Amino acid sequence: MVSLLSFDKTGLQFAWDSTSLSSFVTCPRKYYYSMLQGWTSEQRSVHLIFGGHYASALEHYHKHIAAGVSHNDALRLVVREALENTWDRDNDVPQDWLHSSKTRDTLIRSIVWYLEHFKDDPMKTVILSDGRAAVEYSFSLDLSEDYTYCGHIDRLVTYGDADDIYVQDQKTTGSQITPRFFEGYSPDYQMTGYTWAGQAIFNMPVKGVVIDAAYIAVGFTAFGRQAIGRSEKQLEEFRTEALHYIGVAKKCHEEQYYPMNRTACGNYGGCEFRRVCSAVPGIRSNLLQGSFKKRDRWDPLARR
Amino acid sequence: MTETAPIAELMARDPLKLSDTDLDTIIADLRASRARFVLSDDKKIGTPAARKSKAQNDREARSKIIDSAEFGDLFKDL
Repeated sequence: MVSLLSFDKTGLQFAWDSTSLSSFVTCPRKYYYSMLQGWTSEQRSVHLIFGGHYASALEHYHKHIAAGVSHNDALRLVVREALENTWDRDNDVPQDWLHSSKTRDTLIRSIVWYLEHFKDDPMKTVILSDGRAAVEYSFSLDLSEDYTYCGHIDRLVTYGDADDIYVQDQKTTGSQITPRFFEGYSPDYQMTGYTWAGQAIFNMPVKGVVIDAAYIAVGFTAFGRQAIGRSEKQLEEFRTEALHYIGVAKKCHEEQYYPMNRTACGNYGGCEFRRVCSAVPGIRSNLLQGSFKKRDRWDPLARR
Repeated sequence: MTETAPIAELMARDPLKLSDTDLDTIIADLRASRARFVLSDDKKIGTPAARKSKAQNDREARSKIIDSAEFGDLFKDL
């Protein structure tokens, strides 16, 4: 059995990220099935695959630019990297994610279109006091003596008339980018956690997160940008709340009982475990084994 | 020839076999499609080109052989 970095010998999670925290807060039973047992109804979400390649390409582009590479050369490097990373070497064909709009072709299109759209971007990468560009930064910070909060910051930027400092994050969506899209990130563990971590790691007055959103359609990619601020009080509230829920998770672990949150079953089109939780307790294990697959367990401290 | 290869063919090629010129061709094509999208707001303009099936490629390859053959070549084995 593979040993996980974020869990102690008893199986208690001590290193948390926004994904695992959101999962537990949404529903402890869902956290138990997906995060602790590794059950999933699909191999890997196309949205995670596409979003990962997209964010990685743009992150690497900014790293090349910060290292003095020209725009055209940096673009060519990240397009080549994205093409190579999405090639199915076993079958010698392009990877096919079985999705109508999130495909390998629209991924490359979206990378090129984004860097055209923001070609003269006033938003600049922050250069740290040691001369390094604040790009591609995995972090783990003490939430308390016993618990760690970890994650990955794509890029720290200056933004707005006052050149305030923000964390930048890339998001892709299959829907039009409206004010409602950005409202979905407040209150939100990931964006608040980025701001809290950004301040602690870089010792800078990080104001919040700038979200660059890409609407991926079959025939085009459209972009939107919005800064989302967080106050000091909101950050302290985030830390207190995170520790509260982690304390609840510890209690669940000690009792080996992860209750359902029955008010969350219908979220986002319905929880994938709804059918399992709806069944009588005695047959749930068989349902999981018959209809789900086991994937590698989520391990926040494992490097991306 | 590399410089005239259709974008769909370049995208379907093993990326380790793509030259910098091939990549520039892909990038130039995508930049042009974005420029047309901005001008026309045509929401289908960036639709990736359809790929040909293996059967279609084989048919076209056979067709090319016949098109380029000399009259005498076609009957030389008879």
